[in-house]
Amino acid sequence: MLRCEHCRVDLPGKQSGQRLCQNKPVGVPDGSGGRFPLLSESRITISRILSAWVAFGSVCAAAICVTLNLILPAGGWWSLFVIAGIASLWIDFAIVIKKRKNLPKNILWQVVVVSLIALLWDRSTGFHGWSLDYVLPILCSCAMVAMTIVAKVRRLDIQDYILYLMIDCILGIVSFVLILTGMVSIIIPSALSFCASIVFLAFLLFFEGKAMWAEIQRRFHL
Amino acid sequence: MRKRRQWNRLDNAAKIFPPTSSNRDTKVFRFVCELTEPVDGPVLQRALDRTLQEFPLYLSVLKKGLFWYYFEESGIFPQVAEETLPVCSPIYDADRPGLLFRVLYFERRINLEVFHALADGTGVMQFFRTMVFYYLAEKYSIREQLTDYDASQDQKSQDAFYQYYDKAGAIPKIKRVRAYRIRGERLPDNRIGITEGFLSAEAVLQKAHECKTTLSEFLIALLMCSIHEGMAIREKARPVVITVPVNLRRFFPAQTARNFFGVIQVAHSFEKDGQEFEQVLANVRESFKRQLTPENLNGIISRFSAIENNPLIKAIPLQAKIFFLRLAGLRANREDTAAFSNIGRVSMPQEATKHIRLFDVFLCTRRPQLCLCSFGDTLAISVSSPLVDTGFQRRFFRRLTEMGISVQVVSNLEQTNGGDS
Repeated sequence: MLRCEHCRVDLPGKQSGQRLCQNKPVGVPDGSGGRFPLLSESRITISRILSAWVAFGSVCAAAICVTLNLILPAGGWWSLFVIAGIASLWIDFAIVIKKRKNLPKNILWQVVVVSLIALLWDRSTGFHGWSLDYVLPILCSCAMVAMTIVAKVRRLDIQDYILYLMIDCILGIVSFVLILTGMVSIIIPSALSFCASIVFLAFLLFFEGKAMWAEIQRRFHL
Repeated sequence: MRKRRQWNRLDNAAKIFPPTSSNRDTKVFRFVCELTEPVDGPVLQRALDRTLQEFPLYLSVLKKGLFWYYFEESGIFPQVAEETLPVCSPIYDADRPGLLFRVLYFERRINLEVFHALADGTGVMQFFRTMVFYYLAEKYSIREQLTDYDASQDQKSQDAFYQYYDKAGAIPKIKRVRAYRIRGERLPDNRIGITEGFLSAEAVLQKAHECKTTLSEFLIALLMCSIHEGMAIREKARPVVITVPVNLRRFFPAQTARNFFGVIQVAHSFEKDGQEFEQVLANVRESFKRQLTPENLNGIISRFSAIENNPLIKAIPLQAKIFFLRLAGLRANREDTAAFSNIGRVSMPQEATKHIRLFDVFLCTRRPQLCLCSFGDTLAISVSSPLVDTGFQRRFFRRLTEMGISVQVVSNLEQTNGGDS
């Protein structure tokens, strides 16, 4: 067996160095094999390189736009919109990547995040109301359909997506509330979204009521 | 009809682990059983499948509710695999719900890695022993049974904190001190360095008895002195504080295979309380005696259960709780120098014993942690640390060898590239 004469400890197995004092051990290995596998060096993945390049590209694009804007100031501060656009894309992209393992959850996050980003854009460009008139109701309706398709294609258990579908339906109902409060001027998308929400909720309640109740108990337990 | 998934609340101690775990501090511990022969993968897989029937909670994934995390039954079936990852790699990822443990093998070693939210050392050891026993029973046709742990499934998944929380119990005040922290360069890629020392349990116990102390008290005093030797003069004003998890099953009749532990702290200021080993030992002994009383342990259970059961705190959304738990975790990090946990003696039926060389446990944390467990006459003392420097480990083991105790040392040095291999 190997031995470190400095620490006076024995070193079983094949150990090329001594962790305690970093001195070379003496003797011959006892042939009892290793205790830990040798690990390969951690490699940088292609997705990491790709996202680094895209991030680098976005920063360069933003920098060039600001520079051009400074040189040619005639059109106002248009470069701020470019930067805000790039930031919006990155926020959304980050969430898509972070939640990629859970598709129904990802879809719901997209509804919320894209609606919020749209609302911010709408507000900062004079609030024409397009974010509430079109974006929120259309996203809610599309998300309901998308979740149903994902659930069927991936053969998900109802318990895997019922909560997200329920929340999406509630968001659909919110657009109806917005019609009532007069915040929405184009009625058709919100009305359709409300209708779809009620249909989906009714379906869940009548056919999957128990699963719905169980999920509520689980998620909301105090 | 479709099966309704079962779910379980997290026990009191488990609640801190999901929010405070990270790639740097994975809160994963590894249980090792070194056999006399190389491990047979397919047999290990069958042993694992059999064990999971007895410990169904291990088939859960951790999910977030609006107010609390919870365990949800999953349909995932774990596969044993040959070890390829660094020790105690992250297990819990909020965005990828998966099982909270993994079973790995390498040459003669069976390794079980578990996320701490699922169970504490003693709880996991019951699972691990059962799995190792089933493995050996099939491999070597052992007829004996594992009879010393006969808890029912209910008892195994019981929340013992809930059962023994007494609202009327007095909550002991804890004095918060800023402890000395060992600093230095970290190992690359958030890896941790493991130094395992194997000694004769009898020899160490004899030394401890010569000093009229228990094994834990003796080794904690030795650890404190080893840390002290490496302190710079200006750092000596800070006390060396060792956190010691206490297995509450020793004091309350619970057989749960989940978490049921409390922590006590032993602090020694080398500037004020003396620098001699005897003085440190006397302080450690006195701290143990003062803190390991039924009233104090009841208080430990009450301290956190009272917070958990406060209706106002219950109603705070989980995301906000996560924020406060992280803050509490950061604060707790400043309050100790190292941790020491004694898993105790591992026993196996007679026929299985001859195929096992040793059992060992270690844990990934941000501060150094010393874990010990014994099997037969082999006492395994493992020190895990994220730092490249192994000064206090060297001083600790050298102190033992200077007492005439022979020590075998194994480390994952080659794995971590932390030295001059």
